[in-house]
Amino acid sequence: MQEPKTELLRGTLDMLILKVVALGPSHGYAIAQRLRQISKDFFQIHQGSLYPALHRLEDRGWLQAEWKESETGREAKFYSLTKKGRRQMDAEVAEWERLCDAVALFLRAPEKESQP
Amino acid sequence: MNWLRRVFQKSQAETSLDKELQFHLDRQIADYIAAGIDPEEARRRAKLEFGTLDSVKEEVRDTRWETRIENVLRDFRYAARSLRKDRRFAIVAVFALALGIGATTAIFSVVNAALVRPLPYRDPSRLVWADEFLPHFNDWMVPNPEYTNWSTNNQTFEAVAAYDGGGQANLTAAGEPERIETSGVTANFLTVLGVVPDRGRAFLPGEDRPNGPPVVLLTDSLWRRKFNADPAIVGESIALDGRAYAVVGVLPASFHFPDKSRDPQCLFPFQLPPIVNWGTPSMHLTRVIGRLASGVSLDQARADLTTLALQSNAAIPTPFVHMRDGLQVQVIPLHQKIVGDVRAALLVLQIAVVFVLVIACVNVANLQLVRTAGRHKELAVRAAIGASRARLIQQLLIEGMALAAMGGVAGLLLAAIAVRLLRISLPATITQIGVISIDRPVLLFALAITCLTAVLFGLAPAFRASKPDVNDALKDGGSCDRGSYAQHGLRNALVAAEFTLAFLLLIGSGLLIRSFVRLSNVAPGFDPASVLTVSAELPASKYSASPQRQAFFSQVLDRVLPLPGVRSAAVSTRLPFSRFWGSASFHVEGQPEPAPGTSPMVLNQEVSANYFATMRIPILAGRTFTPSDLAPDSNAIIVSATFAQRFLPAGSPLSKRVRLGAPTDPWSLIVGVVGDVRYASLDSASDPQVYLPYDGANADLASIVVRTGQDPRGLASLVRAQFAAIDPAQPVFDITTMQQRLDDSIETPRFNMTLLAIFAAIALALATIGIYGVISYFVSQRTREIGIRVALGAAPSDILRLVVGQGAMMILIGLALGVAGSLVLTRYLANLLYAVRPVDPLTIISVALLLIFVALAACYLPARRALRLDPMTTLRYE
Repeated sequence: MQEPKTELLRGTLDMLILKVVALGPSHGYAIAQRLRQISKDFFQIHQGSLYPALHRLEDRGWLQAEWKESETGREAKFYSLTKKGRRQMDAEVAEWERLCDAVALFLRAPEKESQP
Repeated sequence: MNWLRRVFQKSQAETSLDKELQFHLDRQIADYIAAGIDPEEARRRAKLEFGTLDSVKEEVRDTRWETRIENVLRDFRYAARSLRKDRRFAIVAVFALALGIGATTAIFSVVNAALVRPLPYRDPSRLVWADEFLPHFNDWMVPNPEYTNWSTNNQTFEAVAAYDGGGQANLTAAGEPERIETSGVTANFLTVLGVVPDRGRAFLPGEDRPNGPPVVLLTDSLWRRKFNADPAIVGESIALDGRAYAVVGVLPASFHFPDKSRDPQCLFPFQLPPIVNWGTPSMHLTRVIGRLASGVSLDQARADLTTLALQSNAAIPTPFVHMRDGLQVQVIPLHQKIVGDVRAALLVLQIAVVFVLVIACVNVANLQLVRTAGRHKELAVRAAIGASRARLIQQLLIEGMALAAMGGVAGLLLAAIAVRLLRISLPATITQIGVISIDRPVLLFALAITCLTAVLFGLAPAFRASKPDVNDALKDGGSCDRGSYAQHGLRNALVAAEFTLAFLLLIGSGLLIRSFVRLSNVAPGFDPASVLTVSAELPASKYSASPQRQAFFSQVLDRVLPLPGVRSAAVSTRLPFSRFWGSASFHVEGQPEPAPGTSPMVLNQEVSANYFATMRIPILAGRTFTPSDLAPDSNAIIVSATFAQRFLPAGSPLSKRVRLGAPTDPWSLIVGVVGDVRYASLDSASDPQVYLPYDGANADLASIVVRTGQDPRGLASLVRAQFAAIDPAQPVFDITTMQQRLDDSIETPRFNMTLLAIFAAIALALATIGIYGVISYFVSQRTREIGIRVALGAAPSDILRLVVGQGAMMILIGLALGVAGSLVLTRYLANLLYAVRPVDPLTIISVALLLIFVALAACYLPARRALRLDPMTTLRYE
């Protein structure tokens, strides 16, 4: 078993899942693949985290699931974003961007200023 | 409510999750294969990446917030499955719990009816019983002037009422003449209790004065039984003892007379003079109940009544006033008065049965410990795949709850059966207090103890088993020997505790059995076998003169004697163990005259000539009565041995003269001395007794005793028919055998003994199962060790010592604690015992021996199994 390369905060994983699902209804395997591809293999989500997260989001009413035929012809559980989920995702993304901006401000600050 | 549906559609959600994860895994493998990886390797890699399917599932489940509820339901299903798998354990455990819970609930239903439930009267906490102790008579009694004094002059009561000693009346209404129990009550009696008649009215003030109107209140049961619940009966008159009484009302069905030794079918007004008058020649004894004014304490009420009692001394004629020297007034709650003497016995039984319940719990806890030790691996596996410690505890607790629930339901069924049995077998002293039923408090009690048992036997094993060392347990063979020493300690302690409790119960029942044997071996002074008794009270309206009464009973004897199987028959005015008795003061000729009012009292009764022969009471000196003793100028009496020893110690009592009654009464001549008879009860020594020849003069109530050559019950209807043949309107009662009267008189101690013995037997059985289980487990765990020992040349006796020694330790600790406990506890049994001391070495030793024997037998069976082990097999084992 390989540990994910980067530890993700639980809330962050939720946001990434919502973002991926926002691209279109997809099943767990596809979500995992997409996360990896988009992050260029940076995020390697273990199934032990992915599926509990999917079920948690579903229970909270942010995702809805239905069994549909997948691209291979086999039935798979497809998750799609609910209205509530979209609002939640927008809020989280906004929050995340504010956080990133704030952190970036710090990181870009000239080093001189910190020295008397 | 989505989640709720899902809780109950578990299997669907579960298969859905399975399908979802399987899909993921399969896609991963397919993608690897597509990328050109060898299928076998692809599968391996995907699985590795995926981790345990189970652990992913476990995590998914845990994330759901409703998981907890699901867990509970799942654990119940899991518990059911695992109990089904271990059916023997489940049956033993449920059986033990059902016994414990059932017995405890049944006894609690009695305790609830007798001690917990408030009396069925309005605001019963304010009802009290007031009484006066007169050292001179060594007895409690309240003469009617005292009652009137208290009732009119007190400052602390809302009202004070009284009832009389009770009586019986011949009811000649529709159907067969019948003798019914009656009681006289003052007019305010029902008001004090707060009871309102269902129909009609209570007695009016003034109806309870001397020469008041003949009125009667019927109980609901008499009204239904004899008068077909006819509402028009109120205002009608009925014939009692040949006199017409107007029915003024019918009591509610729920009415209970506030005296458990009574069950009157109708109430009369207790006719007492309305003013305090100590100068009357005859007084009534009253039983006084009162309703305290609000805010008044028992002490205040007692002080009030005591002051009044001492004040009345001034009004009492000098010869009598010193009969009241040292007078004491008692005011106690009515509830205490009513339940007083059954309280101790009931509490002993309740505690005993709680012991049984605790033993049952300990037993199940022990079986659980043994079982969870065996399930070590299963639990370790669950822990390894991610079940948390709390989840494991929860699962084991739920298993305990499932067991307790089954035990509780089965126990309640047992209790329902037991309550039916108890209703018919309880002594009347208890059933008179209240109806024994499984009502809401009893159900709540059963629920509470069921939950308590679940915690009691569920928690210890749960905590112990929930700390599995995963690595250790999963390694083969390592699971059992290691880590189980602590468990051994706990199990041994539990078995020792079982033995302690079982020992205490056995001691208690052993003491009661010994006491009962002593009691039933007491010689009553007569031969009770094959004797029939029949009583009749001849109404004064019909049999007003003594010759009429005597003639009636002579005719009865004349008709009974020729009946087949009758050996002899006699008349007596008192039967052993009956409530009716008379006494008189007396004076022995030649001894100094006692001060007025201080003469000793003696029991007296009248008997016909054949009485001593029929009852087989030995004649120690002199002779029995002869027909000539009935002559008007005859003055023959016969005295009992105790009378002769106590009052005529010097010389032969024969031909001495005794005066019964007042100084104006004639002298009587002692013509015989007979053996003592225990008339009051088997456990109280005989009082001095005087017999007079039966001439019908002093008593309208008399009984015949018939000695038969066969079972006397077969003659009952025939003897009864002889009464009817003489006077069809004359009711008879007390038709029973002397043996039955004797048995009835010791009904309460027999009941206590039987119940305690049953509990002790259950306790012993449970404790035996307990030690057997633990020793069997010990042997099965030490199979290899025993095999090695045998292989190294250990003799069978060594193995036996190893195994039995394990049990002996528990037994000895249990016994030691039991003996110590019994020294402390048995004193609470003291007033249930007759002629046995609470600390009785014989009982302790025999109970200890019994316990050791049973316990060693329980150890021997597994030990024998150990001895039969073939060392080669055991060494290959595991």
